Amino acid sequence: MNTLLRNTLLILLCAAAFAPALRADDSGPPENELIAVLNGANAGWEAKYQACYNLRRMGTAASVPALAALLDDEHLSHMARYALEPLDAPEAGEALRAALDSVSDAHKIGIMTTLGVQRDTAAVTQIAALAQSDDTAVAEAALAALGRIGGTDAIAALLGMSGEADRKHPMATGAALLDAATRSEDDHAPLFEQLMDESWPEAIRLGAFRALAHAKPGQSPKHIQAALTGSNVHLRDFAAQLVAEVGGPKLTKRYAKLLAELPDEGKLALLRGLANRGDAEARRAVLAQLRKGSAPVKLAAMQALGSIGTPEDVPLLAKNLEGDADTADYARKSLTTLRVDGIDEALAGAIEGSSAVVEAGLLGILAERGAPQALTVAIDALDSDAAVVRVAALETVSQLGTAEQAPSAIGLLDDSDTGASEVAAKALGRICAREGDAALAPIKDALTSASPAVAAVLVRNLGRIGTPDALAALTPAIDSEHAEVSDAALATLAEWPGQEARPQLLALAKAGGDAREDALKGFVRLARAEPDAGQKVAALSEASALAQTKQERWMILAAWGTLPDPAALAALSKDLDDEEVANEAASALMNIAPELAKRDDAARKAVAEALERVVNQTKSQAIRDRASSLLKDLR
Amino acid sequence: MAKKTTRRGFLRGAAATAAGAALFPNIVRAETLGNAKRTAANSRLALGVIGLGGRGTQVMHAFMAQPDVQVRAVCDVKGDRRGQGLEAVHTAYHDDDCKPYIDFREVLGRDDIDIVLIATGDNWHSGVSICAAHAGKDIYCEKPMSVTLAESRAVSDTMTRLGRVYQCGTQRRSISHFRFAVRLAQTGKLGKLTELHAEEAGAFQVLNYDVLPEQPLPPREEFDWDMWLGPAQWRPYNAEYPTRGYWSGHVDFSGGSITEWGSHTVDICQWANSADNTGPVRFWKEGDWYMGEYENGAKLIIRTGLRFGSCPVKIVGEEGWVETGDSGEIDAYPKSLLGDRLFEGGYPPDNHVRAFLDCVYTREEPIARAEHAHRSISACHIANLVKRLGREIEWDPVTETCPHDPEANRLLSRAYREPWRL
Repeated sequence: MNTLLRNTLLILLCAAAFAPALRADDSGPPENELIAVLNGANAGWEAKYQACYNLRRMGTAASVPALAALLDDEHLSHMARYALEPLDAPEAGEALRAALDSVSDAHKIGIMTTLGVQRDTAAVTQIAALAQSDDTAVAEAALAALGRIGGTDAIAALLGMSGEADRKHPMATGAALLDAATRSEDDHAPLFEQLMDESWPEAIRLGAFRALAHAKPGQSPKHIQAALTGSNVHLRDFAAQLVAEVGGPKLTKRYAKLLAELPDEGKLALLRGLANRGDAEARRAVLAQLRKGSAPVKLAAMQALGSIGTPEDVPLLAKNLEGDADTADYARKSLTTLRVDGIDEALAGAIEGSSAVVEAGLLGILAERGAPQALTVAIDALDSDAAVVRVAALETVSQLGTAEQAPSAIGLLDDSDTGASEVAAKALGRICAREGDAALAPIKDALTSASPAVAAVLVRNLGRIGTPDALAALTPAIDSEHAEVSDAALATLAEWPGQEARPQLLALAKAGGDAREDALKGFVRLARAEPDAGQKVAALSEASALAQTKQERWMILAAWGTLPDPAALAALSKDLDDEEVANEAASALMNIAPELAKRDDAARKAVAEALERVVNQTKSQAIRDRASSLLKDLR
Repeated sequence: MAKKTTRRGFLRGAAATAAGAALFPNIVRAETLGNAKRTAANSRLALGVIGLGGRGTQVMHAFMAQPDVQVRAVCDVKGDRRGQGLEAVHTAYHDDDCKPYIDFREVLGRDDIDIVLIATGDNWHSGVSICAAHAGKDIYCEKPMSVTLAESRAVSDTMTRLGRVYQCGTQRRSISHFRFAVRLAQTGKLGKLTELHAEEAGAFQVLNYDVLPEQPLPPREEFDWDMWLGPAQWRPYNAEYPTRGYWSGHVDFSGGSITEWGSHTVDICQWANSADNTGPVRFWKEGDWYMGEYENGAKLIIRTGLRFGSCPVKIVGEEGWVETGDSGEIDAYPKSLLGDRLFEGGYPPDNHVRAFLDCVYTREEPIARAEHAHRSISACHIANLVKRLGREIEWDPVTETCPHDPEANRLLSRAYREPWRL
């Protein structure tokens, strides 16, 4: 066998052996086969890519030499690292370090990054040298790798480059120092203080400020006070965030004491920090600011109390509900967010003796909090002399009330105070919709003696109950001597949600008169929703006979168009010859055609014939086109 | 070196000086900024938008609706999107101040850019976030936060280390019906929590590992392939890769269905379970559902079939449950938990964007801060490992490793392609 033939056969054998098994996924062939692919002179890029992909998941030290050989390959250097980086074997680090000085700058960056991820302390000297590179990308990658590696040597190397005069890459150097130092067990407080110097970029200064506060919580108030009294607004706000983060009750006391000493800008920031800290130890200091602070400070104090307040603070916050718009808004938000036990009880208790405005506000807050006593308190307040309280109570009742509160809502329907009757009607409607027949008895009772205006509202709500019993209660109102009541009853009947109203609507439609048009609409609406096809055919046939205007005919044709039934096809076909409704009949017919045609051959044939008529007779080009398309589908 | 006042520091100071009420940021927003006409361009926060696909454009418009923000840079590796984004900004502001970029590093290199919106493909979310932090920017980054667990851990650590404000685009934390559901759970109204149901996306459920055949490379102005690949493994260009329907299911660029919606729904479950700084300790599969178990006994259930539109969740306790989703509908047992509260549907990012901007001023940690988003996406990543490896996985949320499972541990990270790094 000559050499050429032998090599060709070998390549084919390799391809046969590896091609089907090599996939870049979470399974794949064993390691020795993958190594063979990497070492194979004839394996292409994709085969080696896939081998690296799979070695990432399961490679061992045995695969390191083959991977290392790719570390300066234009397209596979990264894939080699892809497999080497998660490999927990000293051979991986050795291979990466060995390659570092000889590969191109681009690949140096990648290798240093991987050595950083592996926290390879043996690479510090090599990488520190590269941190001096004139190539910014290489130098910054080296600095980042040193930061990631961390430990004494890496930090020492970074410190050597951190002097203000030697600092070529301040952000990268500072970030690397923070990375290394914040992961170190050693005391790096002096370093963090250095990094807070104004010569460093702001992100480094803030990061160092945070690192120091967490590393030395006892020292943090000194720096936080400096920031809160200083002129750098970013540092001041960040200090407030650190107040929230760095824990311990002793610190809370110190911050609370500090609060009184700060200028307003500092107070606002610190109040925010104390609120986010959530420690009630600061409460007294916050309360003092609520009493004595400037207007913005008072608002901030009120907001802080929403996080750290207790039931004792409820009366004071509640009093602020009658302040100006901002004050009331902040008080309401704080009272809504207070979380500790006993707040709901305190809110309910604060109602006693409070002004109408405060009482109304408290009722809303109790409902918003979902307090268990919200409904009970609101029911009591329905009898209040103050309209603003009755309205607030009704709002709660409308959200949470049951049929038991229906009489109270009904009692306020003729409340002459502005807004109360409207809210009562809304509350009653929501109760009826929720409670159904349970709300029927009080409405029936009230109807016996209600004024026409109230009776009109009551009959409207029978429709929201929407049951057969409610319909029975509605029927007498249709013949009321008061137009206001009978109109409301007819409108309610026309919109009735259940099929039980159909006979009455049909009777009214047949009877003619003012109610005919609305009754027919209501009847067709219900007929359209009728689930039984036979009954639907019967109802729509009756409706068809009653239609007097072309608009009514269109409405009924559209309803036929929801019924894929031969009777509907017949009804619609009949109107294809009537120019006044031909387009609507055709459209409705096409709506049911596809479904009806599936029924059997006879239906299919009838549908096809009807569609042919549409194509031949209808004037609208769009309708003819659609009919042609449907016809084509049928054939 | 002379003391340097940062641009944002100056803006904040200027705002405080301009209005007494501005001393308190909430008042600034409500009274001064929120109701004001657009403020002068040089006193607004300057935003760079990186990634201008559908979502990026939507969130960019939410930023542009804020009176204290001005978009000054748009960046995308796709030329058509770059052009459309630039046109939208110029149209909104009636000027041509905004500049287009292919390479996001040029945006980050601008000293006059204060904040960035990152809405690239998933593959780049972590990498650009870290670069932005090193450039001193504050960051609003779309979800999912990462492709691997190590990436989002690095993002969270970097934000802490460099004092950056980072808001993950998990905007359901700022939407009222999700917040209400979480509040029911956190205030004990559902009793001890037992099950946390999180919907995964219906799409991208099958993970893809393919390498596609090479196609001719388009000009860089039209599409920058190398920049699109970013930290992912190099491969020859194929036009299929950068399509949303493809890369979202490819393990080299995304986490498929579980991270697609789980970054929202698992996040809400974690929040409801007061587990923002931890995660389940065990993951496994039951039928089609991916399960996790928290130390408090509550089970995380990543599944499909919940009600109420996209990204629904159901939180179940011993005394009740609540279920909601993007439709705005909400159901609960007992019904009395709800009264008959009504919520708006949809998933607008507006409140979430506003909350981020407020934190940029106050330096407070946002509602969707990096650590919380990392913990949520971590649970998704481990569930994905169950899917990929086909076995139960133990998880230690303290060390963030899979005990006794070196194979799983290796899949928690990926080496970044040079010159990129975490």
